[in-house]
Amino acid sequence: MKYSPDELMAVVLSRELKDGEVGSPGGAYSEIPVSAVKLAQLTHAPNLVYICSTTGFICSARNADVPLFNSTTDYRNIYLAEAVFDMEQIFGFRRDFFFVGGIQIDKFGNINLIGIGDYPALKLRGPGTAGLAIASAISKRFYIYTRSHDRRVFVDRVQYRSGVGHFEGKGMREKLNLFGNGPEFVITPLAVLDFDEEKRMRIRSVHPGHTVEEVVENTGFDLVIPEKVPETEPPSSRELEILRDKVDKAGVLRKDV
Amino acid sequence: MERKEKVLSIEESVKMIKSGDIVAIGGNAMHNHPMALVREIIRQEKKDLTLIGGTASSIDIDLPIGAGCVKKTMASYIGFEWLGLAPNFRKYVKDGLVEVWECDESHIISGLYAASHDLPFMHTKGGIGTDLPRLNPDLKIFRDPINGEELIAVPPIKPDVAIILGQYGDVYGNIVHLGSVFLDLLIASATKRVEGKVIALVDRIIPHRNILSSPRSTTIPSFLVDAVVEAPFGAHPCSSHGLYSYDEPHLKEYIKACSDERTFKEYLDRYVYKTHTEYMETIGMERLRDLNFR
Repeated sequence: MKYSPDELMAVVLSRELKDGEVGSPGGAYSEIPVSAVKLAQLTHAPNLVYICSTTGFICSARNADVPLFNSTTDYRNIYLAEAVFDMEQIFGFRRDFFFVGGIQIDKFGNINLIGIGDYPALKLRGPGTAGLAIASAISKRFYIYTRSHDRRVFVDRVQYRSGVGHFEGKGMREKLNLFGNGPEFVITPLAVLDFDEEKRMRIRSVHPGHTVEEVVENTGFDLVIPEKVPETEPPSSRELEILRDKVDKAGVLRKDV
Repeated sequence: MERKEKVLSIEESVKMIKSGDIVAIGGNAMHNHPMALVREIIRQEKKDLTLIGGTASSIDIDLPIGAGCVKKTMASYIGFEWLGLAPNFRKYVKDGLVEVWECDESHIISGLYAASHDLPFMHTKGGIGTDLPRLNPDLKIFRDPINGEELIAVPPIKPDVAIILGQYGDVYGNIVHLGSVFLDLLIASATKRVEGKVIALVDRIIPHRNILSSPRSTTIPSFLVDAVVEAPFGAHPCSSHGLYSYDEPHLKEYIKACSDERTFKEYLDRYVYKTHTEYMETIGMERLRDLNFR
């Protein structure tokens, strides 16, 4: 079965989520992570709960009739909620996972959402840190996703650190007393990139139809390349069927293909 | 003596705001922003405002920036999510015309919490290991006295005026949110604690007996509200949680209009420099009704 890059990213992310976990798909641009969470709920993780961070909607209901919205801040996410919390309580309990994108991502998985250029008159002003500083400090783990795998996004060092990945390498998160293990991996339309012992970014797998050379060519720093790089396991026909029939009927994840 | 009714018109309520004020705006992203009041702020030509977003902002801060009302922003996110970056915010930052209080969501929440509890600061882990304390000198790193861990102290955020949006309210200022309350309650508490004013825009004023019949539904109590202003579709082009959706074609039209000075001025003439009733007529009642959640 054919699939879009967004569908592949959603499926690979969904496999990472475990039954009974509590987490947040993030606010803006959240079609991919929300699909991942809903797909996990409908397959191997029926007890998974996701929190819409800014609205406080606690979404535990599995209802295939609710379509996929562009944002978790949309009111209609309430149709999947079993409770509503106040926004200031959102960071006040266990959080197993979250997802985030970035203007820049560096070799240690640090993220920039502030902008590019000399501060304060930035050449490119980004939207701002949103809740990344706190989320990256208090979550057990997180996943970075981006639709653009190129040298503008993947840089040796982010210009401004909005969120802490592995900071400057192994042991640094512990030193800063940050909770959790930081970024688990980065997923792009080309590959899955995880981190080695020293917490440097490494190619974990390359998606079908793409090559290690292509990934290296589009990354602005030296990736750790293992001797054997496997191919990313593509979405199974069952995963795609559930994704299309129950999570994303309108084909939001396929609209750019 | 009679109990005070707090109903004001859009125009009267915004007169409470002075140029140079710190104004907190309720809602989040493209939802529950009291846009009818934001447009009135522009009409009344307020200048040098510091605008606080609770916590994420879009057209509620970007539009007054473009209209020349804003000196400084305090928001953890200003953008249009899947529709793109905030055009005026981008331009004004690049040209050095607007100051940014660089922050995380946790810093807005902590600052408002400190103000509402009359504390000298509130601490958070958010920002440790980031560049935020370097870019924003108000965020101070300190060692906690229990374990010696590094934390960030955020000073109180003290609004002069808060403008928020609820779906319903009574004449005394009891407010009801049908969906998320976002940070509106914390914004109102902080503002009243520091003796500021709170203006609540509501889509509809409801009878007081409705509030009495269901006090658990009240999300902001009347003693935290100074003025209640009724404006149907007052959040447009943003959504009003529980009543109507955001107007995506209008938001796209706005972003496009910001691409040059002439078209932005045309946008202001067409949508801002008129009464709220005229605004609704310009958008079209049929189109507004189509935004209603069914």
